[in-house]
Amino acid sequence: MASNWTIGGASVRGAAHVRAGKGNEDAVAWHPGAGTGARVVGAVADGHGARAHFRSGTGSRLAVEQAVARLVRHLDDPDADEVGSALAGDILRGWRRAVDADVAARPYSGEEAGFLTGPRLGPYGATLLTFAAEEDVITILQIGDGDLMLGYPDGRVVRALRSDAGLVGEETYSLCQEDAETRFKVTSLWRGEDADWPDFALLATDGVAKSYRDDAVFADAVARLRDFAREDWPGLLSNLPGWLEELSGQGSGDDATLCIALRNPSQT
Amino acid sequence: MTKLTFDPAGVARRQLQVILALDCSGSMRGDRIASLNYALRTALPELRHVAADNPEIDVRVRVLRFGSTATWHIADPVPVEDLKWTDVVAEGETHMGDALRLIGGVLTSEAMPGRQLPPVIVLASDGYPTDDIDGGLKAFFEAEHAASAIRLGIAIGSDVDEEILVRFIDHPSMKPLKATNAADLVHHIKWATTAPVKAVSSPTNAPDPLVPLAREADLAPTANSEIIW
Repeated sequence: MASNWTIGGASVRGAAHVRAGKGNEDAVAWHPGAGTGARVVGAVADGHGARAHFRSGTGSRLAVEQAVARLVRHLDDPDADEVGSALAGDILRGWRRAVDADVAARPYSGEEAGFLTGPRLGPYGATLLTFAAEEDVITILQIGDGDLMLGYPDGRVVRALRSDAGLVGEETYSLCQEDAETRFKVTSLWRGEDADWPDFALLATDGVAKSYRDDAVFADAVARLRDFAREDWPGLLSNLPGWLEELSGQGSGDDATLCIALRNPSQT
Repeated sequence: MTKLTFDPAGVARRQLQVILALDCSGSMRGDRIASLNYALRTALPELRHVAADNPEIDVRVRVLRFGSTATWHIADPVPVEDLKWTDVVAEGETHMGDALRLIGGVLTSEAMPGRQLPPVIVLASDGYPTDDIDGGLKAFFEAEHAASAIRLGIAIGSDVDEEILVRFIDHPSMKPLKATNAADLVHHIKWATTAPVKAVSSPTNAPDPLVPLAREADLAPTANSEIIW
């Protein structure tokens, strides 16, 4: 089996969370764990972090675990013909079941119960961004904020999905919302004979992009990460945690998480 | 092994602008304007402290006063650590509509460049607008960043047009803070300048980040005082 893709990532606690004694509320996961394969899946999630979302660190971890497991199962099934919206529903159901199991195993304390105000699964609220690539198909799903950038052999870096409309300030859509299934954005790319085909994907929680002066500077930084990944993939992975900590410390102060996938340059 | 670096020039703290719009009409003369000035003198050190606790945020302050005219008391967004308070003086009518137009004029990408956190706008008033408030509100809400702003209203005394403050706040969970004596006013000014900065600067994203702030505002204690405005 050809090893077309390489995948890896890192997640670090933001400076503001370090000062506040809070944990990292982001999460990242990818498949295969060894980092190379003909089919790869990656996911990042960002727990909301406010008091009403007091278990959002767990929520984000469950989100990436459920998403990766379900997307791998989808890729491994040669007869799978699920459309993206069905995949979103499958991931959401898996996350909800995992959250219910966690609540059953760790019931809310009296103090925690006092923070319950919004949707039933609000304490676990998180965003989710996923990427699944095989030889000729790429599937992308997103709920809430964060950035998924695709890079192309000619050096272009483009945003894979449009931004959510109708939100202001720091608002975001969330897995914890009752209508979460309708808030997913989904896209699939099919490789055609003449079509450009991405050789790079970057999934980032919002703490990364918000560290940059503006979107254009962020896009330039992603292009440089693509160059670095192509030149020295092991170096990229070993540098990534320290780089994210420094970036967050000088920028947003938020938890910062990246998952990066690189198509082997020898594969055309 | 090559070291992965980033260009520091491309990385920036996010800016948070706090805009205070203060009613300096004639009805504020005496105890009210003295209390307002005192409140701001005591709130600024607390705001500096909150900003120091959140070094990733570049907190800046503008102040606008409105009486028979609306003018910037502090026009450029001053870093909170550099801000020195000079007292505002009460006179004339209540041109709140003009004040809102002026604020709308700075809620733009040009006046708020780069990565911005939602601006915090505190409108404190003790009376009824005497100018075109409907036009002022319309101009304000047409501004680019008006919808994303955290808008707080402080009603000073018992003869306030609360309906206007509610229209300015325009959030189902957030109500005007009521200051019926000097102690209330000091407390509300301190809270309104510091709590939203804490809330906005805490790295969080949520379906509605303002709801916890509104709950906190509801729980804010009021002072006991024998002197009631």
